[in-house]
Amino acid sequence: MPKRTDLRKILVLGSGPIVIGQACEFDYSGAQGCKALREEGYEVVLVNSNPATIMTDPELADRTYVEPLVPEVVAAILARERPDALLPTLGGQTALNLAMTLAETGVLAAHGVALIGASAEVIARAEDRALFKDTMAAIGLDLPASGTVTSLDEAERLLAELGLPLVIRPSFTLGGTGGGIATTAEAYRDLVAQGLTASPIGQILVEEGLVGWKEFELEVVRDGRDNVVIVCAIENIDPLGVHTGDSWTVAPALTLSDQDYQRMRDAAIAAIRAIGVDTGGANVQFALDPKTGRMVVIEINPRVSRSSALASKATGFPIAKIAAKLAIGYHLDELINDITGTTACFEPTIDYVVTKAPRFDFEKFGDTVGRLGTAMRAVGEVMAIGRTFKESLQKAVLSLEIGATGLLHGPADDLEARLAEPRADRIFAIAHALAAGQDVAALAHKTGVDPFFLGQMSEILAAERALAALAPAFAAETPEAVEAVREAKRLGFGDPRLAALLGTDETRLRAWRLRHGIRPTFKHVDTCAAEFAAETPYVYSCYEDEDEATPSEARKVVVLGGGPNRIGQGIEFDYCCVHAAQALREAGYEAQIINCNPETVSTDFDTSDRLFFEPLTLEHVLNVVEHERPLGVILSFGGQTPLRLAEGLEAAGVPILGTPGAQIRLAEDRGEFGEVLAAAGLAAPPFGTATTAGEALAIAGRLGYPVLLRPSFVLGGRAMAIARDEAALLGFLGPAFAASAGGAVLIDRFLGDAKEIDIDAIADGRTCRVIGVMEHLEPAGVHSGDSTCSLPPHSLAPAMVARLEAMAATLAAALGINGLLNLQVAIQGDVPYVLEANPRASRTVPFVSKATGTPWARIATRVMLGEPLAGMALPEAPTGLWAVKAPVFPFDRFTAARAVLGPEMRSTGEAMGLGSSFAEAFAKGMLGAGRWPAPGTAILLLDAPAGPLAGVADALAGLGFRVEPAPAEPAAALRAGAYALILEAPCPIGEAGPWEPLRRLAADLHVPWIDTLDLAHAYVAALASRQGQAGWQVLSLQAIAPRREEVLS
Amino acid sequence: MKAVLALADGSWFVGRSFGATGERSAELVFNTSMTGYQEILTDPSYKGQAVIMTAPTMGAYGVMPEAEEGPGPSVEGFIVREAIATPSHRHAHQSLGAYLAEHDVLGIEGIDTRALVRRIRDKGFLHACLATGKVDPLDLVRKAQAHPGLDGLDTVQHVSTRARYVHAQAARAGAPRIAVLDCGVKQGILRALAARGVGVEVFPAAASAEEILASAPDGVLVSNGPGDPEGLPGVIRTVGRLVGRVPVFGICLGHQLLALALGARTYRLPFGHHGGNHPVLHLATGRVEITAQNHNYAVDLAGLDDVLACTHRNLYDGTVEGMRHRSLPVMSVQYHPEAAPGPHDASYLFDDFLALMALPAACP
Repeated sequence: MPKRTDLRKILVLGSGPIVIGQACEFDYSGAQGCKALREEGYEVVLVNSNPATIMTDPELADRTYVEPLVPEVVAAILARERPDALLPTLGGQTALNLAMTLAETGVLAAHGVALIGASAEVIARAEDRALFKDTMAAIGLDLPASGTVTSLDEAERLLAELGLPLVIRPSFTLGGTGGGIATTAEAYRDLVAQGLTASPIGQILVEEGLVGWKEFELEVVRDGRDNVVIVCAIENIDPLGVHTGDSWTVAPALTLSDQDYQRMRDAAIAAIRAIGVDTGGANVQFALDPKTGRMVVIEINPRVSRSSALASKATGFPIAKIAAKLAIGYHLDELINDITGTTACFEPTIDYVVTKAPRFDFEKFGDTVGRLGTAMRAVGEVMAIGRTFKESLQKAVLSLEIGATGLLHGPADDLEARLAEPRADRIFAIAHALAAGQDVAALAHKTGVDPFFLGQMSEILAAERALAALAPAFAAETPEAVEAVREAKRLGFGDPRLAALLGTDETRLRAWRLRHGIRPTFKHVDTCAAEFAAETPYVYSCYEDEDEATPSEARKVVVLGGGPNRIGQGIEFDYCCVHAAQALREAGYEAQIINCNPETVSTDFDTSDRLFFEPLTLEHVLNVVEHERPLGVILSFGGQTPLRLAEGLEAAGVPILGTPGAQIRLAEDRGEFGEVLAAAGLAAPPFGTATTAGEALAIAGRLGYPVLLRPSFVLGGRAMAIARDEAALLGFLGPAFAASAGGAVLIDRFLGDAKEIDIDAIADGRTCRVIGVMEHLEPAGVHSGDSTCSLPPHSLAPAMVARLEAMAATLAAALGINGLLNLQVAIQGDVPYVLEANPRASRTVPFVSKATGTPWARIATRVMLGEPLAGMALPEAPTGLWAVKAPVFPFDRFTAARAVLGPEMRSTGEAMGLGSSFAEAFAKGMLGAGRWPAPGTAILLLDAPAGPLAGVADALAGLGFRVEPAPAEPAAALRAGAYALILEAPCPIGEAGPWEPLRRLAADLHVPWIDTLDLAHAYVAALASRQGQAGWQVLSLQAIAPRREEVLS
Repeated sequence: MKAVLALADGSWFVGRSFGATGERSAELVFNTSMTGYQEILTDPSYKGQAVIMTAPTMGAYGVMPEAEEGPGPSVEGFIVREAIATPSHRHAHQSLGAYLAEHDVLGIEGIDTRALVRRIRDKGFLHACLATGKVDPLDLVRKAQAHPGLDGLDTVQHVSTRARYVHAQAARAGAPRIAVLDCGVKQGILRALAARGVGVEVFPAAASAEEILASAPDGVLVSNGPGDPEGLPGVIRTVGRLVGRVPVFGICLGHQLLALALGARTYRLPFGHHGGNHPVLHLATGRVEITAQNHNYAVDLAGLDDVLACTHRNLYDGTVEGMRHRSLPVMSVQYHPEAAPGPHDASYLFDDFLALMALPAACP
């Protein structure tokens, strides 16, 4: 059937702020979906509160609403736009749940809006654990024995019936939030209570714990004629019990016989037919008992997912794009596989092995063990492509950017404890255990990891030992050594590890192997294992005979991506990389991207002219540069990752576009930067640089406490802390020295009671244009990434703004900035102090771009290509428009963490609120971030009588809110849902204050907690502005973008 | 031990031996299945061919009795990027390499299989000579060039059963009995029939139509098998004599033999279809099946429109994947409804065959 002609306008829901379990893979899916729908001539209305997404670029939809993803707001948009249909399957669990609410409350019916892609019944059958179980049982598929529970009593009965271990899965939650595995009755009761709270419908599924079973995922696509294809089978290396988002995984499945695989394939097809997913993509998860072959269905997601993004990148089959086209009526055999030009109704076959590795940030949450379970905790992931598992596993390790050069990474102690339970670093513990001589069978028994994978790791370690013995032959450059190095490269060894094994350094090793002709070949990802000739821009390196990726004669520029998402470096940088590629293509250059993050838009194969799916290491970047000979490499969009390569690339003679390496160093090296500031006459907090604890104490003594510690070359404030005395300083120094790339730790005098400002600017060597001045609502000392901020500044005097802009221009000139510059300034009294300067795109560039209607990353790219700013018709910022950035935090997933903001960043993403006043923008920002008070409950005030919040409390009472002091049992009241908002008198930055346990509970229950004065005042203003307002005003980006056409031309 | 794969186009690839030692000449084909290497190795249709697997890692789950599609491997050589020596699977009896060595099949690993596949894709199927140990590649190239290939030859005689045998008794009185003309039949076909409760008796390809009809079967299945259908004039005659006297179902080579017996033509494809992901459109329903395929020749139905109807078409290249006689109970498919290895989407064809036999017109 061709596309539906009864639909004209389709509303697409995005997934909102980046949170654990729902990250930029949904930007990738949503952007593809929007493009696919518009390609077919539909009018697309998009709603997504996340400004850092490509999908919210105004070109991707006819109407783009960066508005909160809550029923009231989406209802207002539906009323205004009157779309014919709503597509909820591209925006993750958020979009699915929101669509369900809109369907159940009759909003969709009232506006005559059809759900396409997945009906409410389908969503319910897949998501409601009891319905799901019945549906699977009806078609004879095996499931883990289980029961549904809505109370603690029911949970006790099931415990007696099923026995331990038990898995607890809350209904309708994202990334397994609130679930876990219980091996003791006590843990079981705790998890049941937690799960009942986490589930929005207060329901959990308790099921038998299939400990040690293997886990698989099949990515399935079905069309309206019931054609079904399996796009990819993904095998988890970690056994069942570790969330698939936290697991190391491979594609294709490697340990299934054909009979096993076909049984699983048949079951997946039967399952999605029974669930009724009639058009689009779905993900079916299975567990298999390696001893008996018993296979059970674990769950189905009736939508595109993180795994479908991975499957798309792993195979070249664009699931989200195809799913969008199926949703509007096409059948699979009417669509074309863009890569081969043959039908899209097929199953990809791949001739390489893909490994996905999770990236964790446990240390940011005070968790040094990093225990894994059924709730996802990874903040990002990498994917690596190699011709064999060994090669792809080693490339994945290199891609992670955790300082690992090979499998033997991190400490080799405490192995038994690290093997006995799943932890974030277990793969490395396994490697150490293998190296220490533990045998594969015993390790398989301890860890539940299939002996196949352990055997392959063991072979890598055997190769390491053989290489170490070859150092003399290497020095003598014997034919045997040449053969061994070639073979080692085929096993995926990186140059740094080889250099260490062979007793040389990376530079010499590289020269050695090039001298002997050992260089990578590049092969295409083509969906068909070369069965058909394919035009594909998507390549990976390996050490084979034939290089397929002949470089073109075009003028090329390589953009380095940001690597795995992590706290402090996420989608914002990918947004900039995508814009850089767009600007390069518009300017007539061949845009090439290197990146290893499968969740991103930058690794969509049609974002660039050539995509190198490679680790972002010096070795792999040089490989690409030597192969392609580009005009230059752009480092300043991928966050800190590419900047770390600047020195090595310059040393290798690679031309760098944008701010040169020496200038980057000038901004990053605190000593040199201090001289720049002094020469420019700009104030900065007094500081010193310490390389030992003794030096640190001396510096702090000289500066006076409190002091702020910051390691150099880190992002997201890793290991940054405020020390208020010597003891605290000594405690913070260890982690700070460990985190610092250069080994030095900077110690600043901490500026108390200061307001912090973020400034983004573009400079071309002559002109500097300040593109955004953002005022933080938390005081200086809270990491800028964790701060709520307002653009334009909501309380700064125009004279101060002008002074800040002048400072930015002065510094841009002094630092020789070519492209983007980010400045952080603290204003104490009325003196602005420069805290730091980042000679690269900042996290706020997409926010500023969306708030001002101008694609600044593209303009910065043109500057880097040599176009002067003066010649560009740059629009002024819109007037009368306010934008507030509201961050979201993952404290609910890290129970050991203190839910307190400080100098180390811990937010995962942000929502943007847009409005015609600061108060309105703030309210919408908080609503989008899930930090807006629920109606009808009281406000808890934790402050002394006539304390600093007295004015705020009075104002709130004046607005008709019930403001209550702490009762005898505040936790019980909080649990019972008594409070919509909690106000606490400010405590020193970074410290939890007297109410720490209650604060922790509020984080788990998602009740907003306010402990700074500016934020409290903002809430008062916002709540006041909502008085008497029933609905929400909504605003599309197209309505505010000024003279966009001219800017883009 | 070193191993060399030399091609008739003058090129050669050096890898490592992981199976038997020695030297073999063969036609070289590639298979794009990601699972099911043992089923592929033991499929009698591969007689006379060496197989390259496009998926790089082979042998991870070892070798097991339940994956045998014939009496041991039929391939002359098995070429992979990487062979796993230490398999892991509850059913694994042996490693892939040990199995190949035991059955005297050459295995080569460690070569750039993707480069090899691209060469075959661009040049068409190639003759090859594989050898282990110290060998002169140029000598092997000459041997590859001298290899006669399979065109026009009867390869079926090497794989067909010598004597007729009963594979399965009918599960119940009155259940149909099917005669299988064994041109190199896969166990999967016999299993699929037996699973439906029918009696299955297997006849040698050299059996006469009269001998088969004398057993009074309710239907005849002409099986898959190796080589060029035009090299089998005797079997084509036999099939021609069966048509119209008993319902006939042809699979793969059986489909080609039926087509030739009914006046159609067969031709060689550039590099054949070998894999488990080919989409086939079922013209009657408009639905697409993902199919297991293994054939180098295809059927051309031009000019026979009033006798034979095309029922299935390959969505990749438009080739005929299935046909039905317009008036007689005859159906056939080019691909493998028994899968083994591959998807089960087309298993309904066995039920269609049973339904065909049950039609009143089916028993003239």
